[in-house]
Amino acid sequence: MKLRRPPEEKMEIQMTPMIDCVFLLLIFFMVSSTFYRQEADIGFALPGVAEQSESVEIPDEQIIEVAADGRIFLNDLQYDDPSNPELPELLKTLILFRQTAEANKVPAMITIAPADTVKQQRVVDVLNVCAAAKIQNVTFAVEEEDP
Amino acid sequence: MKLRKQKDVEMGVDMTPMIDCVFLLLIFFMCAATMSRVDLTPDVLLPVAPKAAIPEDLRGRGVINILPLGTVTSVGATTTEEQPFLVYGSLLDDAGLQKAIAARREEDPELRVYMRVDRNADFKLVRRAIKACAGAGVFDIIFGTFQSNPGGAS
Repeated sequence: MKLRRPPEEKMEIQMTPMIDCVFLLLIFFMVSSTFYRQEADIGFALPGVAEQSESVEIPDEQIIEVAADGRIFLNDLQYDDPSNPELPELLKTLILFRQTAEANKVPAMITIAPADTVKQQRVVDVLNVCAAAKIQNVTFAVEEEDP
Repeated sequence: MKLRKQKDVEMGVDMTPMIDCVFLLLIFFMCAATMSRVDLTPDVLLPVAPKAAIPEDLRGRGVINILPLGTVTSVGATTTEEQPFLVYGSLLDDAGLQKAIAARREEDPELRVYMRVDRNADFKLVRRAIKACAGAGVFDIIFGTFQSNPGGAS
């Protein structure tokens, strides 16, 4: 008697569960990578770096004082409302200051002197206005408050 | 004449290229996730500065987190007047911060300090951190900000 050969079973690897897992992992990493909001920089330099400068140019320096209640003073004159974060009057003045310094070919320099209890947001408001006025040399009066 | 029936051609979708692509994407996201592993604690609510610049080069940065006094951090510690600076999960005082920055500067002389200061933190804490930086010989300091405030949280 002739026996029929049983048909050969095809050997196949099941890919579906693996793809499921890989997609799950992919979606997890895609979602988790958006947890943090993009952060931006606003920089300044401490006066210590300028110390070794050999330049003989005397920079045109202005001091911006920030009072504890958020009021901004430049040359003892108050600028803008303490609740206004955009500081339009100060921005106008700083742009003029920068243009004047450029015309005189001296670097425009700003020193910010905030009171101890000023909130960081108010200090960053002032830094933001300096950045908007394209003033690069910004520093802080650190030692001034020392007893 | 008897003609043989042609065998049915199996129609199958070839999954291999798709799996290749998916694995590539997976590896990319895994690498990107480890590259951005820096000390960015979510406890800090950064101030808003629309004119701030998005940095392209994030290398050579030492991070200092500054929270308002009395804040309980995600690691369970509370910031105090004595120990207000949060660096890699531990609270430091002025001397400890200066030591930590000096140690980082030893490894990387081009070190820039990235200060993540909460928008409601008092400036006196920032002043103390700036002094610690100056004491450790680092003069290049950057404040972390958000460019916009979509949530409107204050």
